Formats: sequence, C-alpha cells, structure tokens
Amino acid sequence: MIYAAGVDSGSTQTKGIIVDEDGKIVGRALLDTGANTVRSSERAFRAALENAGVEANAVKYTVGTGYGRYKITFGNTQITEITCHAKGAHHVFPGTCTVVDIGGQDTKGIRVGQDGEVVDFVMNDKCAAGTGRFLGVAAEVLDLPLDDLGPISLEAKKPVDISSTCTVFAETEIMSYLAQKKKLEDILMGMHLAIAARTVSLVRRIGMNQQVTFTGGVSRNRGMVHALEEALETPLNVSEESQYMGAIGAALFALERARTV
Amino acid sequence: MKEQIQSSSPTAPPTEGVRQETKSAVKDAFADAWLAKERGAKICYTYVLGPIELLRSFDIHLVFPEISSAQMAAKKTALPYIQKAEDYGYAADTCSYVTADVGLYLSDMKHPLGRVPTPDLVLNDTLCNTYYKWSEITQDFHKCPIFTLDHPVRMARKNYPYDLEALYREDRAYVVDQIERLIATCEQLTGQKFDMDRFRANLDLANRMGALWCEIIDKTRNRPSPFDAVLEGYNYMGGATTLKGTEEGVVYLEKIKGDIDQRIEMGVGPVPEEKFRLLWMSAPCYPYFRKIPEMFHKAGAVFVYTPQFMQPTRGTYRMQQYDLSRPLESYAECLMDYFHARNPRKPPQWSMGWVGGGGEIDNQLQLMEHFGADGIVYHAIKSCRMNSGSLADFREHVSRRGVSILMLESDIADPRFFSEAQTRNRIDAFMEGLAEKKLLRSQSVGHA
Amino acid sequence: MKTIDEIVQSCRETIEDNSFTTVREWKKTGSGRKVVGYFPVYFPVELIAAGGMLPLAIFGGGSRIAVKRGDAHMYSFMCSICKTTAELALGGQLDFLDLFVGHPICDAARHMPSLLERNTEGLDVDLLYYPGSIAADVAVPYLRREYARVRSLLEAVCGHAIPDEAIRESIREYNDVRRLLRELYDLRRRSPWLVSAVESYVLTRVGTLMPARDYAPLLREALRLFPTRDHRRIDKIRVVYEGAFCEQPPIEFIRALEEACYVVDDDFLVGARFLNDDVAMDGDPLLALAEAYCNHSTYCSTQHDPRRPKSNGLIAKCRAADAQAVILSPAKFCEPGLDDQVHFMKRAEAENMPNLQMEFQERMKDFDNVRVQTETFAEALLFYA
Repeated sequence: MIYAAGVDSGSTQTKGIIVDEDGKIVGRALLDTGANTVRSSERAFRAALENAGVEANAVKYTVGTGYGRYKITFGNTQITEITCHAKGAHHVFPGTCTVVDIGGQDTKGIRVGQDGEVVDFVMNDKCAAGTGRFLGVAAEVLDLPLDDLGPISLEAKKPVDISSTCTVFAETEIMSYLAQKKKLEDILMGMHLAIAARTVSLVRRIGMNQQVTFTGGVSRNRGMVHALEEALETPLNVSEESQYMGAIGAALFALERARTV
Repeated sequence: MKEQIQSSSPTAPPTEGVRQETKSAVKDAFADAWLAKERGAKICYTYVLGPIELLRSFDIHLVFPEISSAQMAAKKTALPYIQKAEDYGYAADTCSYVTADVGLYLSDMKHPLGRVPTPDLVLNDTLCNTYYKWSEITQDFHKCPIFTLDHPVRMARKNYPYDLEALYREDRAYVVDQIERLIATCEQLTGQKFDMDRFRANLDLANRMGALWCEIIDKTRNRPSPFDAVLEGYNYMGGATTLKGTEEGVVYLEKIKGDIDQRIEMGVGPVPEEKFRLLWMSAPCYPYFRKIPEMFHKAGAVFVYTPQFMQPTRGTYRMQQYDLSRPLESYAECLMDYFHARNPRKPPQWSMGWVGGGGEIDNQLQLMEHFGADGIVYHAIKSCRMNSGSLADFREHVSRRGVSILMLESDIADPRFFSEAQTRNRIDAFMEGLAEKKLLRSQSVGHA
Repeated sequence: MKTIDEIVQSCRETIEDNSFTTVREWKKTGSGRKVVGYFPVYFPVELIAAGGMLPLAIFGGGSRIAVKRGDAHMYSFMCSICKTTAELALGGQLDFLDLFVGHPICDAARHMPSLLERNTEGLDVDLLYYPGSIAADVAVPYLRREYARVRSLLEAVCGHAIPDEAIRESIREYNDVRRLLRELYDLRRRSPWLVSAVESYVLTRVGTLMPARDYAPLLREALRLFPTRDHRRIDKIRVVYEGAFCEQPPIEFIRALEEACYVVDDDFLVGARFLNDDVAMDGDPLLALAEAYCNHSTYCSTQHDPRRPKSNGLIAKCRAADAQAVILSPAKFCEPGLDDQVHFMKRAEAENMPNLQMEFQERMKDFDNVRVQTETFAEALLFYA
C-alpha cells in the first residue's frame, strides 16, 4: 500500500490529510498554525500520520498548499490553495461547478471543470468589503463572539438594508441602526445579506453554474449559508469537511504524482 | 421636521408645475427618439457639453448617456445596471455613469424610462477623459463610428514665452477645422446638406436660453434664495441641457424664471427661515438626490450656487454670446472657453476648474462674496476624478483663507458609496460649526 | 568591470532613491544645468535634451514613501501615482525641478500641474496637450504646432534657442536608446531565462533619469553580458503583462509574477518605448516627432485611435512573443486601465487566449495574493493542458 499526503498551511489553522492509493481519506489532523509555520506544518503532517496509523516512509509524495506552502520544506512540491480547493471540492461533491470560498481576509470564486480543474477564478481585491472581515468588525462593535453572529441573524424577521459593505462605513452604519432601535438580529442578517450580495457579484464574473459548494471559515456560519443561498437562489453544498478541502485536494494531487513518480 | 417646514412656510408657489415640466422634458426623450428614428432621423449619442446646436442643424436625434444614467440613479434603479456591468468585468472604481450605461447595453437597451435606441454615431467631446473611454466602449458594443471633437486646454502662466493670442487663433482654427469635418460627417450620415441658417437660428435660440439661464442662476442672490441650487437647480439644468438650442428650451426657461420671480415676490424659499447660504461644488449624489440637501435644509441652510451651472450655457454666463456673424469661429471659441476655465486669456469666472493655479482659489472666494455664501460644500465623487481631483487641495487652500468647508464623499450614481449615518454626522457637525461661528461673530460685533 | 548583477543592483538603487540623488548631482556638476520633469506616459524627451537639459520622468514615490500629506490634498479615489507624486512635491523632494509638464492622459492626471504649482513654491508647470484623436487628419499638424510651443517653453527654461539641428542630434541619440531597448525586449522574448522582467524593468527605468549619452553605453554593456549567463530554461508558462503604462508596480510584484511565469513582454514604462521605429533624422524634427507619435507609436490605454481597436495591438504583441496567456492587471483606480481591461479580456476570450485579471497598486505591501493568483493560473494551464 502506498500513501500520499496533503498539508494546508493557512493563516490561522494548518490541516493534514493522508489518502491511500484509492484516494480514500485515512487520516486527518487540524491544529492552530501559530507563529512557526514550518513546525505547525510538520506537526499537522505527523498528527495525520498518527491518525491514519501510517509510517512516514510509507508516504510516497507530499503536496503543500495554503499561504504557508513554501514553508512546508518536507513536502515534494507546492500547489496553490485555489487549485487544491477546486480538486478537494470536486472530490467531496463531484457535481461541483462553482466553489465559493469566504475566509477572514479574502473571498474567492472558482469555476471548476469536469476533472476538478480550475477553469477560471476570481479573488477580491485589497479592499476587505464583503469578506469575513466585515463580520469581524461587526462582532467588535456589537461586543459579541464571532461565532454567535450567524445563529442570532437567523432569528431576523425584517433584515435592515445595508447599502455599503465598506468595512470603514460598517461601524457607523451599525451604530446608526442601533440608535434607531432596530433589532440586533435584523441588523446582523442585513450585514450577512450585504456580504452575500457582494460575494455574488464577485463570483458572477466567472459565471455561476450549479452545483455550488461553499467552503472557507465563514461557511461554518449558518446565517451566512442562509444569506448566500437566498442571494444565489440555489442550495449550497456545505461539508463538515469544509476546512479540510484544500488539504484533501493537495493529497489527491500528491497521489497522482506518486503514481507517476 | 418636514411637516414643520411646511406648516411654518407661506403657501408655496407653483413649483410642482416646473417639476412636471422638467420631468416631461426629459421623460419624453426616448419616445421622441423612436419617433425620430421612424421618420429616418439618425441617433447620435453625445455628452452634455457636446456640440448640440450643430448636431440639431441636421435631422439627428440626440441621446445623452449621462442624463439617462443620472435618471436611473435618481430613480434609485441604477444599481442593478451597474452590477450587470461589473458581472461583465467592469470595475466598481470607475465612472458609474459609464457602468450604468453598460448595464443598459447588457439589458437589451431597456431603461427604466423606456427603451433606448442604439446610436448611429457617438460624438466624443474631449472635455473629460472618461468620454474617450465611454465612446470606445459604446463603439465596442454597438459598432458605431466615433467622431472626436477636440479642444485643447491651455494653462494660465505667469509669463508666456510664446504669443498667447496667436496660440488662441491657431487653436481656434484647429477646432474650426474639426467642426467642418463634423459637418461633412453629419452630411454623409443624414444625406442632408448643412444649412447655415438653421445652425444660426439654433445658436440664436441658445443665446436666448443662455441669457435667461444667467438671469435665473443669479436670482439666488436674493435673500431668501428663491430656490435651492442643488435640489431645484440640477432639475432646471437637466431640462436646459436636453432642450439646448430649441424653441421649447426658451419657453421652458421663461416659465422657470416666471415661477422664481413669483417666489421672490412672495419672499419664500426652500426653507422657512434661511439661516445659511452655501456653495455646492461638483455634481450631486443622484441616488440620494433629495436626502442630502434636506439634511442641510433641516439646519436652515440653502445652496445658492454650483459651478456646474455653467453647463447649459457653455460660457454664456459671462455674457459671451455666440457671434452670429461668424458662427463657426464663435462656436469654436465657446468650445474652447467653457466651464472649466480653460482659456488663460480670461481669468476663471463662476466656474470651477483644474487649471489656472491660484486663480481658482480667488475665483471661489469671489463666488462666496457674489452669492453672500457662508461656506462651501465640496462633494468628491468616486466616479468623477475630473470634477473631484482637486477638491481636497482646494479645501486646504481655501480654508486657509478663513472659509468654512465641508468635504463629502459619495457617488453620482452608485448608492454603495454613500453612508447615510456618516454623512449625517458630518453635515450636523459642519452646521453646528457654522452656527457657532455666526454666534461668535454677532457677539464680537455686539461688543464693538 | 562590473558583473551584470552588479549593474542591475546599482540601477535599482538609483531608481528607488526618492531624493533623486543622481539627478541632483548631475545638476550640480555643471553650471546652469536644468532638469525638466514630466508625468507619464510619454514626453518627447528629445526636445528637453536638445536644450542641454535633463528629462526626468516623475513616476511618483513608489512603495517606499509614506503618504502623509498627499492624502489631505487628494480624495480617496485618486490613484497612487498621483498621491505619491503630490507627496514628493509637498515634501520638497521635487524642489530641484525647473519645469514640470503634465498631460491630459486621464481625469486624475489633468489635475497634476496645477496641484503641484499650488503646493511647490516657485515651481513652473505646464501642460502638453496631445491631439484628442491621433487618427484625425488635423492631428499631426496640430501636434507639430504644440511641440513648437513646448520648444518655446523649454527655451525659456534653458535660456537659449533650441535649434532644429540640436533636436536632430537628440533624435539620433534617442533612436539609439530605443533600438537598444528593442534589443533588450527581443532578447527577453527569445530567452526569458537570460534576462528577467525585473531586470529589464530596472534597466528601462534607470534610463528615465539619466542623459541618453550615458544611458546607451550602459544598455549596450548589459546586452553584451546577459547572453554570457549560465542560466537554463525551466518549465514555466509564457505570458504577456498589460496594465502598467503609467503607475508602475513594485519590483516585488513583478518578481511574484515571474516565480510562476516567464513574462516575455509587457507595457511597463511604455513611454520610454512609445515610438516603434526610428524617428526621421532629416527634415523638420518637430514634424518628425509629431508624425512618429501619431502614426508610428504603440497602442496605449491613454491614447484614442479610432483606426484600430487597442486589442489588435495586444494580440499582436502576444503572438509575436509566442505567449500562451496574458495577465491583465491595471493599477487600482486607474480608469483608462480598468476600462480597457474589459476590452482586452473580451478580445482575449474571443481569441481563446487564457487571461488573468488582477489589480496592483504601487504602494502595495502584500504579494501573497499576487503569487496565489499567478500560480493558480499557471497551474491551470500546466496541469490540465
């Protein structure tokens, strides 16, 4: 039996995945990236091996991905998280044509081909409007834990209309609605809808086809899933494995290489 | 607050009539365009400062993309069009008049006010660089020819190492040359021979409109000002631009003038008690066209002038009328001299520009004095770097001369660049500052 | 003898010096020496040099300047090159200029001469107004006349006449420079592993702040040394880059592109390579320059030429460079660039030319996004070819 590994070194978390020669996931690990990217990648790799009960020398090929991919010195090669996300999403949901990935700092849209290849992709520019950062600002202004925003927003009956998704404007806009005694859940859903609208306009640039798979840290926010489904007028694939998508894709690339090496 | 204004003000004169007039002046535009097309007229897209009187000497119907975008914005319908253009690939940081127009092209030309006919010709007037791009984009979509009518910009200098008068004559010859080529292009397009008398008649009408317009925009010197330069002024201007060089245009402006005179007689203005008079620099925020001036009205402030008032007359505010004895040359001069004060032979006057250096600052101080204004509101527009690029610098320099200034940032058509809460905060703070200043001044006068 | 790496390194230090030390030194070493600054994209530098003066392209302050005053003098939506140029002026770093000339290339740039004049004590400014349509019959005679006016302006600065003969000599020198730059780009197209886009950028940029007669030998030496390198070709996609005709991206940005691709042609500093052929050295030199600008120049987003769509030029450039793909990346807030990005993208799609769209900003600090996007783009082309 040969094995292949994928390690996704993200800005907050590092993920490791081990697949067997049939592409079946046999081991996984997730831990905080911390200050030392090299060490956290190594640890994620080891933890995934342990989880799989596989020896390091049984792994024939390792692909690193994510922002810290060049720090994964023990790997054989590096591939970007966009290419890996497409592959991973296609593996988990084979009908995926579009991937929407919303992270803390950026939002990506990926058009995926029949073999899980990237046909086209788009990323938001430097401006953080419409990314998870907008929710971070809201959480700070409202003094709420970030994870509570989604569940509270789902209680909304009459979401407010937030015209601007500029994070600079967000604070005054929220304060103004609070001053007008608008309900918290309505303000929050308004914000989720504003981000969704912005995301849709970004992703539309690459053409949107069903099925749509939603990944990235913000995909765990149920309020955001709801808002995005409304905006796209289509149900979304959301996986429990969401945060592993990049690592899965990397491991699958590693397996392909392991077969040809 | 709104009820308060109405209850305490005397019976309002028939402004509604003028508003309806303005609405119909622009609302019939597309219907007229289709009728014109049916009878075989050609459709020309041109920008608001284009050679309107000349094009109207032919059987050419004019469509103004800027006005149609502004109408979308004012009706709060621009955003879906803009987003369509963004989906197509256009950036959110460019001119939203253009992206709203592209959205129209991508919507089978279906405008909220009706369907717009496609162009047979685009007239690119080189006042701003966006016009070049807009023409090129329109050409990409509609495969129509572009005629570029170029008029050079000259900077004022302390001294001229060349003959300024000769330069002006040569530049004028360059423009006349192009006007003659435009005439030939129009003759070819319409199969009509150019009729100098018809052109002269259009210029004559434009002169009459220009003179009327100059009277109208000077009436805000009355206290209280009979109308708000932003809220009503821009409506008047929309009509005056689309009807430029026509009989209806003259009637339209006469009607407005009559209404305004009536208001002056009754001593009424946009607010029950006029406390402050302000200048508004650059275009309005059309998606919140009423909302923003009303935030000022709440504090008793009225807008008495905007340099964009130079648009419908193309320089005639300085009583520079078309000289009917030499129509082409005179037409070229007006193209060269107009409202961004681009002709260094004369100091900037009543306009706002980006050339002229220190003269610009003095010009604004003169405007303050002429209209008895208490402060200036600079409206910096995301879409329009042409109008907005120097505003922040003006603020630095004009405020050093003791003028109270408020700078607002939003957009002419895209509602996403406006934050109501933030704008209200700024306006309230500015008005509090003006009130404070007025109080201090009256106290110091009292002491003396 | 300097190695090629040493030459490039020293050029890089020169171009990144916002105090313009080499220019100030040039000015000091001779009495009555004058420096004339111009804003991108293009200026007929021959006229300045013919008056014995130094033409200097003002490309803003790049990524190494903190914008402190510039933001107060310009609103949010002005592009970075305008803001950092204002910052240089407000900080007194342009005080050595004897004349600054701007161009109406875009709505933002139209403000530059007056804005600098208001904020720099004693600075002489003017505007070179190019013909609105370079295709018009009236364009060449108009521009010839405008060049004559510029000559009068320059004569007032240098204090003596600038005769035709001096301009012809200057044209000869700059024809030489342009020929060498064409060779540099030819070499990159043929063997991008021998000369990187960063190196070619640095070598082109340094020419915008030194006299042609010092610059030509430098280019010649670099062109002699590049082919002697022991660099091997590696498996990378070949791309053309489009969008930096005015504001320039940071060197780190170009490097990030090059990690994933060979950038085999581009429009960096296109003003220095604006004229395609040698300018005629006989006859009326002003007419020759005007003729070259209108009829023998590259396509550019800031130029209006109804004779042919700009995308013809881009596609021809891609074909000539044997590029597999094109990166369309204008500067943030750059209206001509952003509008043309769509024009180029639609054409590339029609020609089945893979294209990547991004934005850059001269003051950007984070290049991870650039890397991720370029690498993903390259991966999509390489893995699934």
